[in-house]
Amino acid sequence: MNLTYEETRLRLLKLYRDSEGSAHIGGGLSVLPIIYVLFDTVFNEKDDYFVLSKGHVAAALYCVLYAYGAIDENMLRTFYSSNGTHLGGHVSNSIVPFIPFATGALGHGVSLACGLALAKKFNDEKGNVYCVCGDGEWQEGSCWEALGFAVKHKLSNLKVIIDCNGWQGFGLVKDVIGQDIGNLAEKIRVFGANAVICDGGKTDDIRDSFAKNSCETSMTTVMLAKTIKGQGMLEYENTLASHYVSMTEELYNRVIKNEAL
Amino acid sequence: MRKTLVDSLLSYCGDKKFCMLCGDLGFNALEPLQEKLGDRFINAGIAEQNMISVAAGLARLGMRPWIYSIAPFIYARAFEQIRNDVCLHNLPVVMIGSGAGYGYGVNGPTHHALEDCGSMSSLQNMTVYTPAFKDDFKYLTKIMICTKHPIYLRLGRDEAPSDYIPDAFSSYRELIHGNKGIILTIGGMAGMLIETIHSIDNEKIPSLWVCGEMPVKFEEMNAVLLNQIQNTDYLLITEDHVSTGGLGEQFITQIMQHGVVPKKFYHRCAKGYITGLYGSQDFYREENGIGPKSLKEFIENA
Repeated sequence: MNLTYEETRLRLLKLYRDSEGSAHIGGGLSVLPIIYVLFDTVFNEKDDYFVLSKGHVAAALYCVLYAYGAIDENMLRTFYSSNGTHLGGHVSNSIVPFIPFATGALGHGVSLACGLALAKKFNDEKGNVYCVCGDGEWQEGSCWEALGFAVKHKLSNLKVIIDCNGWQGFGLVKDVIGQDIGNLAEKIRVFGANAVICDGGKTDDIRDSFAKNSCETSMTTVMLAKTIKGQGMLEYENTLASHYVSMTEELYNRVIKNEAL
Repeated sequence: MRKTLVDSLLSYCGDKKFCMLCGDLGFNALEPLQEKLGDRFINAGIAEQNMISVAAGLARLGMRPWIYSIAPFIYARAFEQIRNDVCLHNLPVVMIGSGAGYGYGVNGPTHHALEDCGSMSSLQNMTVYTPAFKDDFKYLTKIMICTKHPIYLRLGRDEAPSDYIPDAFSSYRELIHGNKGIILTIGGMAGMLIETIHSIDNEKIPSLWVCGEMPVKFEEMNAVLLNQIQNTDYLLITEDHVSTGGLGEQFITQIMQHGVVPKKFYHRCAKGYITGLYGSQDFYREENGIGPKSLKEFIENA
Protein backbone atom coordinates (compact mmCIF):
# COMPACT_ATOMS: atom_id res chain seq x y z
CA MET A 1 0.00 0.00 0.00
CA ASN A 2 1.23 3.49 -0.77
CA LEU A 3 -0.38 4.91 2.38
CA THR A 4 -0.58 3.65 5.94
CA TYR A 5 -3.98 3.01 7.42
CA GLU A 6 -3.79 6.27 9.36
CA GLU A 7 -2.89 8.21 6.20
CA THR A 8 -5.73 6.59 4.31
CA ARG A 9 -8.15 7.52 7.06
CA LEU A 10 -6.93 11.10 6.96
CA ARG A 11 -7.37 11.15 3.17
CA LEU A 12 -10.93 9.91 3.63
CA LEU A 13 -11.73 12.65 6.12
CA LYS A 14 -10.39 15.22 3.65
CA LEU A 15 -12.35 13.67 0.81
CA TYR A 16 -15.57 14.03 2.80
CA ARG A 17 -14.64 17.63 3.63
CA ASP A 18 -13.94 18.44 -0.03
CA SER A 19 -17.04 16.81 -1.51
CA GLU A 20 -19.94 19.03 -0.68
CA GLY A 21 -23.15 17.20 0.09
CA SER A 22 -21.68 13.72 0.34
CA ALA A 23 -22.94 11.64 3.24
CA HIS A 24 -22.57 8.17 4.75
CA ILE A 25 -19.49 9.26 6.67
CA GLY A 26 -20.33 7.07 9.67
CA GLY A 27 -20.41 3.85 7.63
CA GLY A 28 -17.40 4.97 5.63
CA LEU A 29 -15.32 5.25 8.78
CA SER A 30 -16.56 1.95 10.20
CA VAL A 31 -15.84 0.00 7.02
CA LEU A 32 -12.49 1.61 6.23
CA PRO A 33 -10.32 -0.67 8.42
CA ILE A 34 -11.96 -3.73 6.85
CA ILE A 35 -11.40 -2.68 3.24
CA TYR A 36 -7.92 -1.33 3.96
CA VAL A 37 -6.71 -4.52 5.60
CA LEU A 38 -8.37 -6.65 2.91
CA PHE A 39 -6.45 -4.88 0.14
CA ASP A 40 -3.29 -4.69 2.22
CA THR A 41 -3.13 -8.35 3.15
CA VAL A 42 -5.15 -10.83 1.13
CA PHE A 43 -6.49 -9.22 -2.03
CA ASN A 44 -4.78 -10.15 -5.29
CA GLU A 45 -6.09 -8.15 -8.22
CA LYS A 46 -4.92 -10.74 -10.77
CA ASP A 47 -7.17 -13.46 -9.41
CA ASP A 48 -9.65 -11.86 -7.02
CA TYR A 49 -12.81 -9.77 -7.34
CA PHE A 50 -14.31 -7.32 -4.89
CA VAL A 51 -17.99 -6.47 -4.43
CA LEU A 52 -18.94 -3.67 -2.06
CA SER A 53 -22.51 -4.61 -1.30
CA LYS A 54 -22.95 -1.60 1.00
CA GLY A 55 -22.21 0.63 -1.97
CA HIS A 56 -23.04 3.81 -0.08
CA VAL A 57 -19.65 3.75 1.63
CA ALA A 58 -17.98 4.20 -1.74
CA ALA A 59 -15.68 6.98 -0.51
CA ALA A 60 -13.90 4.58 1.84
CA LEU A 61 -13.32 2.17 -1.04
CA TYR A 62 -12.03 4.98 -3.27
CA CYS A 63 -9.48 6.00 -0.64
CA VAL A 64 -8.31 2.41 -0.24
CA LEU A 65 -8.00 2.10 -4.03
CA TYR A 66 -5.94 5.27 -3.93
CA ALA A 67 -3.71 3.85 -1.20
CA TYR A 68 -3.50 0.60 -3.20
CA GLY A 69 -2.37 2.53 -6.29
CA ALA A 70 -5.36 1.62 -8.46
CA ILE A 71 -6.53 5.23 -8.88
CA ASP A 72 -4.58 8.47 -8.73
CA GLU A 73 -5.07 11.71 -6.85
CA ASN A 74 -6.63 13.48 -9.82
CA MET A 75 -9.26 10.79 -10.14
CA LEU A 76 -9.87 10.68 -6.40
CA ARG A 77 -10.58 14.40 -6.39
CA THR A 78 -13.49 13.86 -8.77
CA PHE A 79 -15.43 12.04 -6.01
CA TYR A 80 -19.04 13.21 -5.91
CA SER A 81 -18.45 15.71 -8.72
CA SER A 82 -21.67 16.90 -10.29
CA ASN A 83 -19.90 17.35 -13.63
CA GLY A 84 -19.40 13.69 -14.48
CA THR A 85 -17.27 11.23 -12.52
CA HIS A 86 -16.52 7.54 -12.21
CA LEU A 87 -16.46 8.02 -8.44
CA GLY A 88 -20.10 8.57 -7.58
CA GLY A 89 -21.84 8.46 -4.24
CA HIS A 90 -22.37 4.74 -4.79
CA VAL A 91 -19.87 2.38 -6.41
CA SER A 92 -19.78 2.24 -10.21
CA ASN A 93 -18.45 -0.63 -12.29
CA SER A 94 -16.15 1.55 -14.39
CA ILE A 95 -13.31 2.12 -11.92
CA VAL A 96 -11.14 -1.00 -12.08
CA PRO A 97 -11.69 -4.45 -13.63
CA PHE A 98 -11.57 -6.22 -10.28
CA ILE A 99 -14.67 -4.36 -9.10
CA PRO A 100 -17.09 -5.77 -11.66
CA PHE A 101 -20.40 -4.52 -10.30
CA ALA A 102 -22.00 -1.18 -9.60
CA THR A 103 -23.71 -1.39 -6.23
CA GLY A 104 -25.88 0.77 -4.03
CA ALA A 105 -29.19 -1.05 -3.57
CA LEU A 106 -28.71 -3.28 -0.55
CA GLY A 107 -29.00 -7.04 -0.64
CA HIS A 108 -27.47 -7.60 -4.08
CA GLY A 109 -23.78 -8.05 -3.35
CA VAL A 110 -23.66 -11.52 -1.85
CA SER A 111 -25.69 -12.95 -4.74
CA LEU A 112 -23.49 -11.21 -7.30
CA ALA A 113 -20.43 -12.53 -5.51
CA CYS A 114 -21.97 -16.03 -5.54
CA GLY A 115 -22.33 -15.77 -9.32
CA LEU A 116 -18.70 -14.67 -9.70
CA ALA A 117 -17.50 -17.42 -7.35
CA LEU A 118 -19.52 -20.07 -9.17
CA ALA A 119 -18.24 -18.85 -12.56
CA LYS A 120 -14.69 -19.18 -11.22
CA LYS A 121 -15.43 -22.77 -10.31
CA PHE A 122 -16.93 -23.48 -13.75
CA ASN A 123 -13.95 -21.82 -15.43
CA ASP A 124 -11.50 -23.63 -13.11
CA GLU A 125 -9.96 -20.29 -12.07
CA LYS A 126 -8.12 -19.68 -8.84
CA GLY A 127 -8.72 -16.67 -6.60
CA ASN A 128 -11.44 -15.47 -4.27
CA VAL A 129 -14.44 -13.20 -4.42
CA TYR A 130 -14.63 -10.80 -1.48
CA CYS A 131 -17.91 -9.15 -0.61
CA VAL A 132 -18.35 -6.50 2.08
CA CYS A 133 -21.86 -5.94 3.46
CA GLY A 134 -23.48 -4.05 6.28
CA ASP A 135 -25.19 -5.65 9.28
CA GLY A 136 -28.50 -3.87 8.68
CA GLU A 137 -28.32 -5.13 5.11
CA TRP A 138 -28.91 -8.66 6.36
CA GLN A 139 -32.56 -7.75 6.83
CA GLU A 140 -32.80 -8.19 3.06
CA GLY A 141 -34.13 -11.67 2.36
CA SER A 142 -31.91 -11.88 -0.71
CA CYS A 143 -28.83 -12.05 1.56
CA TRP A 144 -30.18 -15.24 3.09
CA GLU A 145 -31.14 -16.59 -0.33
CA ALA A 146 -27.54 -16.00 -1.34
CA LEU A 147 -26.07 -17.56 1.78
CA GLY A 148 -28.13 -20.72 1.30
CA PHE A 149 -26.97 -20.85 -2.32
CA ALA A 150 -23.32 -20.34 -1.36
CA VAL A 151 -23.43 -23.12 1.22
CA LYS A 152 -25.26 -25.54 -1.08
CA HIS A 153 -22.77 -24.94 -3.91
CA LYS A 154 -19.77 -25.09 -1.54
CA LEU A 155 -18.51 -21.69 -2.63
CA SER A 156 -15.37 -21.81 -0.54
CA ASN A 157 -13.88 -19.11 -2.79
CA LEU A 158 -16.51 -16.66 -1.52
CA LYS A 159 -15.44 -14.53 1.45
CA VAL A 160 -18.11 -12.33 2.98
CA ILE A 161 -17.22 -9.66 5.51
CA ILE A 162 -19.97 -7.87 7.43
CA ASP A 163 -19.33 -4.39 8.81
CA CYS A 164 -21.30 -4.70 12.05
CA ASN A 165 -21.54 -1.10 13.22
CA GLY A 166 -24.94 -1.74 14.76
CA TRP A 167 -26.71 1.10 12.98
CA GLN A 168 -28.97 1.34 9.97
CA GLY A 169 -30.71 4.17 8.12
CA PHE A 170 -33.23 5.12 10.78
CA GLY A 171 -32.26 3.38 13.98
CA LEU A 172 -30.24 0.70 15.70
CA VAL A 173 -30.19 -2.74 14.12
CA LYS A 174 -31.07 -4.31 17.49
CA ASP A 175 -34.12 -2.03 17.79
CA VAL A 176 -35.34 -2.51 14.23
CA ILE A 177 -34.89 -6.27 13.95
CA GLY A 178 -33.75 -7.39 17.40
CA GLN A 179 -30.43 -8.63 16.15
CA ASP A 180 -26.87 -8.14 17.35
CA ILE A 181 -23.58 -9.42 16.02
CA GLY A 182 -23.83 -12.56 18.14
CA ASN A 183 -27.17 -13.78 16.91
CA LEU A 184 -26.40 -12.71 13.33
CA ALA A 185 -23.34 -14.96 13.51
CA GLU A 186 -25.46 -17.72 15.01
CA LYS A 187 -28.01 -17.49 12.17
CA ILE A 188 -25.22 -17.62 9.61
CA ARG A 189 -23.77 -20.73 11.23
CA VAL A 190 -27.19 -22.37 11.21
CA PHE A 191 -27.20 -21.85 7.44
CA GLY A 192 -24.02 -23.94 7.29
CA ALA A 193 -21.41 -21.24 6.74
CA ASN A 194 -18.28 -20.64 8.76
CA ALA A 195 -18.92 -17.47 10.82
CA VAL A 196 -16.10 -15.72 12.70
CA ILE A 197 -16.23 -12.56 14.77
CA CYS A 198 -13.42 -10.04 15.09
CA ASP A 199 -12.87 -6.52 16.39
CA GLY A 200 -13.29 -4.50 13.22
CA GLY A 201 -12.23 -1.27 14.86
CA LYS A 202 -8.66 -2.49 15.15
CA THR A 203 -6.68 -3.18 12.00
CA ASP A 204 -4.46 -5.70 13.80
CA ASP A 205 -7.47 -7.76 14.83
CA ILE A 206 -8.83 -7.72 11.28
CA ARG A 207 -5.39 -8.67 9.99
CA ASP A 208 -5.25 -11.62 12.39
CA SER A 209 -8.74 -12.72 11.43
CA PHE A 210 -7.93 -12.65 7.70
CA ALA A 211 -4.74 -14.62 8.39
CA LYS A 212 -6.60 -17.25 10.41
CA ASN A 213 -9.46 -17.60 7.95
CA SER A 214 -7.76 -17.33 4.58
CA CYS A 215 -6.59 -20.95 4.63
CA GLU A 216 -8.21 -23.50 2.34
CA THR A 217 -11.64 -24.53 3.49
CA SER A 218 -14.55 -26.30 1.93
CA MET A 219 -16.97 -23.83 3.51
CA THR A 220 -18.17 -20.35 2.69
CA THR A 221 -16.64 -18.00 5.26
CA VAL A 222 -18.41 -15.00 6.74
CA MET A 223 -16.38 -12.65 8.92
CA LEU A 224 -18.38 -10.39 11.19
CA ALA A 225 -16.34 -7.33 12.13
CA LYS A 226 -17.57 -5.41 15.19
CA THR A 227 -17.04 -1.79 14.24
CA ILE A 228 -17.95 1.69 15.44
CA LYS A 229 -20.05 3.86 13.19
CA GLY A 230 -18.45 7.26 12.71
CA GLN A 231 -15.37 6.15 14.62
CA GLY A 232 -13.46 9.23 15.80
CA MET A 233 -16.19 11.64 14.74
CA LEU A 234 -16.47 13.21 18.25
CA GLU A 235 -20.12 13.86 19.13
CA TYR A 236 -21.17 11.95 16.00
CA GLU A 237 -19.32 8.75 16.93
CA ASN A 238 -21.69 5.80 17.24
CA THR A 239 -24.75 7.87 16.31
CA LEU A 240 -27.42 7.71 13.64
CA ALA A 241 -26.57 11.30 12.69
CA SER A 242 -23.13 10.17 11.47
CA HIS A 243 -24.96 8.55 8.55
CA TYR A 244 -26.21 11.92 7.37
CA VAL A 245 -23.86 14.63 8.67
CA SER A 246 -21.71 16.61 6.26
CA MET A 247 -18.02 17.08 6.94
CA THR A 248 -17.83 20.83 7.33
CA GLU A 249 -14.49 22.59 7.59
CA GLU A 250 -15.21 23.23 11.24
CA LEU A 251 -16.02 19.60 12.02
CA TYR A 252 -13.04 18.39 10.03
CA ASN A 253 -10.69 20.66 11.99
CA ARG A 254 -12.07 19.48 15.31
CA VAL A 255 -11.80 15.79 14.31
CA ILE A 256 -8.22 16.22 13.10
CA LYS A 257 -7.25 18.16 16.23
CA ASN A 258 -8.72 15.45 18.42
CA GLU A 259 -6.88 12.70 16.53
CA ALA A 260 -3.60 14.57 16.93
CA LEU A 261 -3.95 14.55 20.71
CA MET B 1 -43.73 -23.83 -27.36
CA ARG B 2 -41.85 -24.76 -24.20
CA LYS B 3 -40.92 -28.23 -25.45
CA THR B 4 -39.78 -26.84 -28.81
CA LEU B 5 -37.63 -24.27 -27.03
CA VAL B 6 -36.05 -26.91 -24.80
CA ASP B 7 -35.41 -29.19 -27.79
CA SER B 8 -33.84 -26.29 -29.67
CA LEU B 9 -31.42 -25.70 -26.79
CA LEU B 10 -30.16 -29.27 -26.50
CA SER B 11 -27.63 -28.88 -29.29
CA TYR B 12 -25.95 -26.04 -27.38
CA CYS B 13 -25.43 -28.00 -24.17
CA GLY B 14 -21.90 -28.96 -25.20
CA ASP B 15 -20.86 -25.32 -24.90
CA LYS B 16 -19.18 -25.09 -21.49
CA LYS B 17 -20.29 -21.48 -21.14
CA PHE B 18 -23.99 -22.30 -21.47
CA CYS B 19 -25.76 -22.88 -18.17
CA MET B 20 -29.33 -22.81 -16.96
CA LEU B 21 -30.85 -21.73 -13.68
CA CYS B 22 -34.44 -22.46 -12.80
CA GLY B 23 -36.52 -21.20 -9.92
CA ASP B 24 -37.64 -24.66 -8.83
CA LEU B 25 -39.91 -24.96 -11.86
CA GLY B 26 -39.83 -26.81 -15.16
CA PHE B 27 -41.19 -30.25 -14.23
CA ASN B 28 -41.90 -32.30 -17.35
CA ALA B 29 -40.14 -29.76 -19.51
CA LEU B 30 -36.57 -28.98 -18.48
CA GLU B 31 -35.42 -32.52 -17.65
CA PRO B 32 -33.61 -33.06 -20.99
CA LEU B 33 -31.59 -29.90 -20.34
CA GLN B 34 -30.95 -30.97 -16.76
CA GLU B 35 -29.59 -34.28 -18.00
CA LYS B 36 -27.36 -32.83 -20.71
CA LEU B 37 -26.04 -29.84 -18.76
CA GLY B 38 -25.15 -31.75 -15.60
CA ASP B 39 -23.59 -29.36 -13.06
CA ARG B 40 -24.41 -26.44 -15.32
CA PHE B 41 -28.11 -26.96 -14.69
CA ILE B 42 -28.85 -25.32 -11.37
CA ASN B 43 -32.12 -25.41 -9.51
CA ALA B 44 -31.57 -22.11 -7.70
CA GLY B 45 -34.56 -22.83 -5.51
CA ILE B 46 -37.50 -20.63 -4.62
CA ALA B 47 -35.25 -17.61 -4.45
CA GLU B 48 -35.64 -15.60 -7.62
CA GLN B 49 -33.83 -12.46 -6.50
CA ASN B 50 -30.69 -14.45 -5.78
CA MET B 51 -31.08 -16.41 -9.01
CA ILE B 52 -31.04 -13.26 -11.15
CA SER B 53 -28.01 -11.74 -9.41
CA VAL B 54 -26.13 -15.05 -9.50
CA ALA B 55 -26.79 -15.15 -13.24
CA ALA B 56 -25.39 -11.62 -13.53
CA GLY B 57 -22.24 -12.75 -11.72
CA LEU B 58 -21.92 -15.78 -13.96
CA ALA B 59 -22.39 -13.68 -17.09
CA ARG B 60 -19.85 -11.13 -15.90
CA LEU B 61 -17.16 -13.81 -16.01
CA GLY B 62 -18.10 -15.10 -19.45
CA MET B 63 -20.78 -17.70 -18.77
CA ARG B 64 -24.01 -17.61 -20.79
CA PRO B 65 -26.74 -18.14 -18.19
CA TRP B 66 -30.37 -18.75 -19.05
CA ILE B 67 -33.06 -18.44 -16.42
CA TYR B 68 -36.43 -20.14 -16.32
CA SER B 69 -39.43 -19.44 -14.13
CA ILE B 70 -43.07 -18.46 -14.28
CA ALA B 71 -43.07 -14.97 -15.81
CA PRO B 72 -44.10 -12.75 -12.86
CA PHE B 73 -41.72 -14.57 -10.54
CA ILE B 74 -38.97 -13.18 -12.74
CA TYR B 75 -40.06 -9.77 -14.02
CA ALA B 76 -42.05 -8.68 -10.97
CA ARG B 77 -40.39 -10.46 -8.06
CA ALA B 78 -36.82 -9.71 -9.06
CA PHE B 79 -37.26 -6.44 -10.94
CA GLU B 80 -34.50 -4.56 -9.11
CA GLN B 81 -32.01 -7.38 -9.66
CA ILE B 82 -32.84 -7.40 -13.38
CA ARG B 83 -32.60 -3.62 -13.55
CA ASN B 84 -29.38 -3.12 -11.60
CA ASP B 85 -27.40 -6.31 -11.90
CA VAL B 86 -28.27 -7.50 -15.41
CA CYS B 87 -29.42 -4.52 -17.48
CA LEU B 88 -27.28 -1.75 -16.00
CA HIS B 89 -24.24 -3.94 -16.68
CA ASN B 90 -25.55 -5.01 -20.10
CA LEU B 91 -24.96 -8.70 -19.42
CA PRO B 92 -26.06 -11.55 -21.70
CA VAL B 93 -28.59 -13.16 -19.40
CA VAL B 94 -31.60 -14.74 -21.09
CA MET B 95 -34.70 -14.80 -18.90
CA ILE B 96 -37.52 -17.12 -19.93
CA GLY B 97 -40.80 -15.97 -18.46
CA SER B 98 -43.26 -18.81 -18.82
CA GLY B 99 -46.89 -17.87 -19.33
CA ALA B 100 -47.83 -14.89 -21.48
CA GLY B 101 -50.74 -12.66 -20.52
CA TYR B 102 -53.57 -14.70 -19.04
CA GLY B 103 -51.83 -17.94 -20.09
CA TYR B 104 -51.99 -19.52 -16.65
CA GLY B 105 -55.76 -19.07 -16.77
CA VAL B 106 -57.68 -20.27 -13.74
CA ASN B 107 -54.47 -20.42 -11.67
CA GLY B 108 -55.14 -16.75 -11.36
CA PRO B 109 -53.65 -13.27 -11.35
CA THR B 110 -50.56 -14.16 -9.28
CA HIS B 111 -49.37 -16.25 -12.21
CA HIS B 112 -50.39 -13.93 -15.06
CA ALA B 113 -48.01 -11.67 -16.97
CA LEU B 114 -49.82 -8.48 -17.91
CA GLU B 115 -46.99 -5.98 -17.36
CA ASP B 116 -43.94 -7.94 -18.48
CA CYS B 117 -43.36 -6.43 -21.93
CA GLY B 118 -43.73 -2.87 -20.66
CA SER B 119 -41.63 -3.27 -17.55
CA MET B 120 -38.89 -5.30 -19.20
CA SER B 121 -38.66 -3.27 -22.40
CA SER B 122 -38.35 -0.09 -20.34
CA LEU B 123 -34.98 -1.28 -19.04
CA GLN B 124 -31.83 -0.20 -20.78
CA ASN B 125 -30.07 -2.75 -23.02
CA MET B 126 -33.01 -5.17 -22.72
CA THR B 127 -34.70 -6.87 -25.67
CA VAL B 128 -38.06 -8.56 -25.20
CA TYR B 129 -38.96 -11.35 -27.61
CA THR B 130 -42.59 -12.40 -27.99
CA PRO B 131 -42.65 -15.48 -30.22
CA ALA B 132 -46.02 -16.45 -31.68
CA PHE B 133 -45.31 -19.94 -32.99
CA LYS B 134 -43.26 -22.88 -31.84
CA ASP B 135 -41.44 -22.83 -35.17
CA ASP B 136 -40.09 -19.38 -34.24
CA PHE B 137 -37.44 -21.14 -32.18
CA LYS B 138 -35.81 -22.42 -35.38
CA TYR B 139 -34.48 -18.86 -35.66
CA LEU B 140 -34.96 -17.27 -32.27
CA THR B 141 -32.94 -19.73 -30.20
CA LYS B 142 -29.83 -19.02 -32.26
CA ILE B 143 -30.36 -15.28 -31.88
CA MET B 144 -30.72 -15.63 -28.12
CA ILE B 145 -27.78 -18.00 -27.70
CA CYS B 146 -25.51 -15.51 -29.46
CA THR B 147 -26.77 -12.43 -27.62
CA LYS B 148 -24.41 -9.97 -25.99
CA HIS B 149 -27.26 -8.24 -24.16
CA PRO B 150 -30.07 -9.05 -21.71
CA ILE B 151 -33.11 -10.79 -23.13
CA TYR B 152 -36.56 -11.43 -21.70
CA LEU B 153 -38.46 -14.15 -23.54
CA ARG B 154 -42.22 -14.00 -23.20
CA LEU B 155 -43.04 -17.68 -23.52
CA GLY B 156 -46.71 -18.21 -24.27
CA ARG B 157 -48.50 -20.89 -26.24
CA ASP B 158 -48.62 -21.50 -29.96
CA GLU B 159 -52.33 -20.96 -30.65
CA ALA B 160 -52.20 -21.31 -34.43
CA PRO B 161 -54.14 -24.01 -36.29
CA SER B 162 -52.06 -27.21 -36.28
CA ASP B 163 -51.41 -27.10 -40.02
CA TYR B 164 -50.25 -23.47 -40.03
CA ILE B 165 -46.68 -22.91 -41.20
CA PRO B 166 -45.37 -19.45 -40.29
CA ASP B 167 -42.73 -17.46 -42.09
CA ALA B 168 -39.35 -17.13 -40.41
CA PHE B 169 -39.33 -15.16 -37.16
CA SER B 170 -38.79 -11.42 -37.55
CA SER B 171 -39.75 -8.24 -35.72
CA TYR B 172 -42.85 -7.74 -37.90
CA ARG B 173 -44.56 -10.39 -39.98
CA GLU B 174 -47.72 -10.25 -42.08
CA LEU B 175 -49.62 -13.44 -41.35
CA ILE B 176 -52.79 -12.66 -43.32
CA HIS B 177 -53.09 -10.18 -46.18
CA GLY B 178 -56.58 -8.76 -45.92
CA ASN B 179 -58.95 -6.30 -47.58
CA LYS B 180 -59.96 -3.91 -44.80
CA GLY B 181 -57.98 -2.67 -41.81
CA ILE B 182 -54.94 -4.01 -40.01
CA ILE B 183 -54.66 -5.90 -36.77
CA LEU B 184 -51.29 -5.92 -35.03
CA THR B 185 -50.74 -8.21 -32.08
CA ILE B 186 -48.08 -10.08 -30.10
CA GLY B 187 -47.32 -13.67 -29.17
CA GLY B 188 -49.88 -16.43 -29.07
CA MET B 189 -52.77 -14.07 -29.77
CA ALA B 190 -51.57 -14.08 -33.38
CA GLY B 191 -52.40 -17.77 -33.69
CA MET B 192 -55.79 -17.21 -32.07
CA LEU B 193 -56.54 -14.42 -34.54
CA ILE B 194 -55.59 -16.54 -37.57
CA GLU B 195 -58.45 -18.86 -36.70
CA THR B 196 -60.80 -15.98 -35.85
CA ILE B 197 -60.13 -14.11 -39.09
CA HIS B 198 -60.71 -17.22 -41.17
CA SER B 199 -64.34 -17.13 -40.08
CA ILE B 200 -64.83 -13.52 -41.28
CA ASP B 201 -66.50 -12.58 -44.60
CA ASN B 202 -63.93 -11.91 -47.29
CA GLU B 203 -64.50 -8.17 -47.74
CA LYS B 204 -64.02 -7.51 -44.03
CA ILE B 205 -60.88 -9.60 -43.58
CA PRO B 206 -58.15 -7.43 -42.06
CA SER B 207 -54.45 -7.87 -42.58
CA LEU B 208 -52.92 -9.57 -39.56
CA TRP B 209 -49.46 -8.63 -38.40
CA VAL B 210 -47.51 -9.90 -35.44
CA CYS B 211 -44.77 -8.09 -33.57
CA GLY B 212 -42.00 -10.27 -32.15
CA GLU B 213 -39.67 -7.82 -30.47
CA MET B 214 -39.82 -4.92 -28.06
CA PRO B 215 -39.10 -2.14 -27.30
CA VAL B 216 -40.78 -0.98 -30.50
CA LYS B 217 -38.31 0.69 -32.83
CA PHE B 218 -39.48 2.58 -35.91
CA GLU B 219 -36.42 1.59 -37.93
CA GLU B 220 -37.31 -2.09 -37.58
CA MET B 221 -40.80 -1.61 -38.97
CA ASN B 222 -41.65 -3.16 -42.29
CA ALA B 223 -42.27 -0.60 -45.10
CA VAL B 224 -45.23 -2.64 -46.29
CA LEU B 225 -46.77 -2.41 -42.82
CA LEU B 226 -46.28 1.36 -42.65
CA ASN B 227 -47.82 1.79 -46.11
CA GLN B 228 -50.81 -0.30 -45.14
CA ILE B 229 -51.33 1.67 -41.92
CA GLN B 230 -51.67 4.94 -43.85
CA ASN B 231 -53.92 3.57 -46.58
CA THR B 232 -56.33 1.19 -44.94
CA ASP B 233 -59.47 1.93 -42.91
CA TYR B 234 -58.16 1.29 -39.42
CA LEU B 235 -55.34 0.01 -37.23
CA LEU B 236 -56.31 -2.19 -34.29
CA ILE B 237 -53.60 -3.17 -31.86
CA THR B 238 -54.62 -5.92 -29.51
CA GLU B 239 -52.55 -7.55 -26.82
CA ASP B 240 -52.81 -9.61 -23.64
CA HIS B 241 -50.88 -6.92 -21.80
CA VAL B 242 -51.94 -3.75 -20.04
CA SER B 243 -52.04 -0.50 -21.99
CA THR B 244 -49.21 1.21 -20.13
CA GLY B 245 -45.92 0.21 -21.70
CA GLY B 246 -47.56 -2.29 -24.02
CA LEU B 247 -47.33 -2.77 -27.76
CA GLY B 248 -50.14 -0.31 -28.50
CA GLU B 249 -48.65 2.54 -26.54
CA GLN B 250 -45.13 1.96 -27.82
CA PHE B 251 -46.14 1.41 -31.45
CA ILE B 252 -48.48 4.36 -31.86
CA THR B 253 -45.94 6.69 -30.24
CA GLN B 254 -43.23 5.55 -32.65
CA ILE B 255 -45.24 5.79 -35.87
CA MET B 256 -46.84 9.14 -35.05
CA GLN B 257 -43.44 10.62 -34.18
CA HIS B 258 -42.43 9.66 -37.72
CA GLY B 259 -45.53 11.09 -39.35
CA VAL B 260 -47.25 7.78 -40.00
CA VAL B 261 -50.87 8.22 -38.98
CA PRO B 262 -53.63 5.62 -39.27
CA LYS B 263 -57.08 6.78 -40.43
CA LYS B 264 -58.55 5.27 -37.27
CA PHE B 265 -56.78 3.71 -34.30
CA TYR B 266 -58.23 1.21 -31.85
CA HIS B 267 -56.54 -0.46 -28.91
CA ARG B 268 -57.83 -3.60 -27.21
CA CYS B 269 -55.70 -4.73 -24.30
CA ALA B 270 -55.75 -6.37 -20.90
CA LYS B 271 -57.46 -4.22 -18.31
CA GLY B 272 -56.86 -6.52 -15.38
CA TYR B 273 -59.53 -8.33 -13.40
CA ILE B 274 -62.90 -6.85 -14.12
CA THR B 275 -65.24 -9.19 -12.24
CA GLY B 276 -62.68 -10.65 -9.87
CA LEU B 277 -63.65 -14.14 -10.99
CA TYR B 278 -61.05 -16.75 -11.88
CA GLY B 279 -61.32 -18.51 -15.23
CA SER B 280 -59.57 -19.86 -18.29
CA GLN B 281 -57.36 -17.80 -20.61
CA ASP B 282 -60.35 -17.47 -22.94
CA PHE B 283 -62.52 -16.34 -20.02
CA TYR B 284 -60.14 -13.54 -19.13
CA ARG B 285 -59.59 -12.56 -22.75
CA GLU B 286 -63.32 -12.27 -23.43
CA GLU B 287 -63.81 -10.35 -20.19
CA ASN B 288 -61.27 -7.85 -21.46
CA GLY B 289 -62.55 -7.70 -25.03
CA ILE B 290 -59.51 -9.44 -26.50
CA GLY B 291 -60.92 -12.95 -26.95
CA PRO B 292 -61.90 -14.48 -30.29
CA LYS B 293 -65.61 -13.65 -29.92
CA SER B 294 -64.97 -10.04 -28.93
CA LEU B 295 -62.47 -9.46 -31.67
CA LYS B 296 -64.63 -11.14 -34.32
CA GLU B 297 -67.45 -8.81 -33.36
CA PHE B 298 -65.09 -5.85 -33.57
CA ILE B 299 -63.86 -6.82 -37.06
CA GLU B 300 -67.36 -7.40 -38.40
CA ASN B 301 -68.50 -3.96 -37.20
CA ALA B 302 -65.34 -1.98 -37.94
